[in-house]
Amino acid sequence: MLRAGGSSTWRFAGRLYCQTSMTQPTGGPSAAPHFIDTKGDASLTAVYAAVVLVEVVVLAALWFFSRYFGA
Amino acid sequence: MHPIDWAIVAGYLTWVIYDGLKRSKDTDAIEGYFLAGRSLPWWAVGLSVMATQMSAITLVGTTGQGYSDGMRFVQFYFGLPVAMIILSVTLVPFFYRAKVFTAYEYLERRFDKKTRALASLLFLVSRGLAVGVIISAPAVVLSIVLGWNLVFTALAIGVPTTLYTMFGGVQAVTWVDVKQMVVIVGGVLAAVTILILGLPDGVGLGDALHLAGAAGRLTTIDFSLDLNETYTFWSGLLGGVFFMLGYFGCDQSQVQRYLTAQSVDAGRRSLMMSAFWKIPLQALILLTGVLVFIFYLFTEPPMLFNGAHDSQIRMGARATEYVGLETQFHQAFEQQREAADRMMAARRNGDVAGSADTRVAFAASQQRVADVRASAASLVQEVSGDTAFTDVNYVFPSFITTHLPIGLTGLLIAAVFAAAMSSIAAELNALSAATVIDFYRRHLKPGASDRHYLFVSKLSTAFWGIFATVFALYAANLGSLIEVVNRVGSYFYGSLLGVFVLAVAVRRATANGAFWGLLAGMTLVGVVEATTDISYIWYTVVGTVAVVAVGMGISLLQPVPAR
Repeated sequence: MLRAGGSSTWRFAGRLYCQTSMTQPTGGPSAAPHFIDTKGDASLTAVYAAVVLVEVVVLAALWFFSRYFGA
Repeated sequence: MHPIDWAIVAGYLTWVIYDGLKRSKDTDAIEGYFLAGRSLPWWAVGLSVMATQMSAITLVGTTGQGYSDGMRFVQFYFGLPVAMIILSVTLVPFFYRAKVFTAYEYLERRFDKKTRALASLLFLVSRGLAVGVIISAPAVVLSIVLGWNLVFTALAIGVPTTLYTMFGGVQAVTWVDVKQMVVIVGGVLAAVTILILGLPDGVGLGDALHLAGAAGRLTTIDFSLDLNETYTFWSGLLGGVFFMLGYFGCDQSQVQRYLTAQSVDAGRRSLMMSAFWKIPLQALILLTGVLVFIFYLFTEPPMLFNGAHDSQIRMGARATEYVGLETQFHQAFEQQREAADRMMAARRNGDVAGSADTRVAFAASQQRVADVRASAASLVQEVSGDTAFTDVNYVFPSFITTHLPIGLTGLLIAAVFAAAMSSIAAELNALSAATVIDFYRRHLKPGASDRHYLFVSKLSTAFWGIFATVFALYAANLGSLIEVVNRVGSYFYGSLLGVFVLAVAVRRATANGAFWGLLAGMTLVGVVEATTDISYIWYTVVGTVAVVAVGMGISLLQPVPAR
């Protein structure tokens, strides 16, 4: 009884898995999007450049702060 | 605490619930409940992103780290600005244009439903437990420092947050986050001001910072290439980029924040706020801890800030040993203070050689204080059996309650509550979104009315709130479990990031490749964690690379599907 129940559970799980695989095989390359789609977006290039610049300045400031008071 | 401070904390909690609940009128549909109808301005979303990331553990633990270990932790955030730029260019437009509620919903469109279900399940398990820890950690600290009952403290954090998140949805989460950020930053700035103004007569800020520097508290950048060292320039910049990409790009609690923005550009700009401000803010919080360290150079601190087992030790068999350590601590403190005075005097007199000698002497005296404190902590662990006993998280709350003026103590305690609640609210809303959108609507009851899903979403938020609060009480007594929860999180981010890289960047990737790659990535991170001493910050890199490699390998073995 227990074994029969167990095997039917496994059969059900197997069917579920196969069904999942078969009804939606992979999505595959046809569903892959364009990597960077920026159509209609405002350009944030200047903002990104500012972020990088600010990070460089902040890291440099932290380094000088550490060197000045730590030395 | 003074009654005025109590009134401030009580007033704050009441105001948070009122402010959150009044947003419920704006959430009469599921899109409003989870995404605010995609209507929020970039600055509100940006502040919410920052508030979500900054939990009470960050506020209390980071200041404690500044006190005991200095500012090196700031390096953990060095990769964040770069990660924000990458996300702004890639995943933010993807998620926004896909009109998804959850990040994992996108995985079904790209791959299949089992990959989506696995990713969403990983999120629910890891963040569902983590939110319990986010309640538990500050509740334990506050209950000990304030002498409150632990259950009451956990309920004081969990119940108001659950209430306003349940009824107000993401609108409440975001707008309360905005105000909570003001409370947190205002509280930290007030503490910094008091600490600087409170320096003893004759001690300038420059003197104080030189003392902190001599004690190794101002090391901000370490260029060492040691993979076992957690906080270095390279681990922060390289490992940190992957970690932040995983957290901000694949964790629903953050993805949901920028999906509420009124446009793709608003979503992208909201992330730029963190890109600009996160490192300076984190440095400020660490500096607060360093200033507390300076404060306690001139005012004798308790030997241990965490007094949880104090009476047990004093009544026990090793009480004499403990009292002996207290005597040693007092002597070490006095020697440290004298060494600090000598170092400042040598600096002022321009005595270069003497300055170097006194600096070495001060560092040695500071180490003696730290050694006695470590011996006391070991004794507490041995006597109480509390192997998870820690002192570092108690430094700032203890300082707040014993040395800040009336009113400011209440504000800072409210700030700790605010930090906890802002993170918890975002997590509860995200957990509810993943439960309802990825499982209930997708698998259990598709095609029901919007009204029905809204009702279930509120129930789901209540469920996660109750679960997290109850788990918080359980987690409070299980230090090792907290570590397990954090480790699960580190497995999760790298592997999920790998799946999203496959989805977005690898056109040939298949569903089976993504699914098995995800499992392989988590397994490999587990193996690396068990067999090496590599710092956890690198796990995200390992997980991502493993998922992409295995996923691509499996995908290439499968036939190219017909277009």
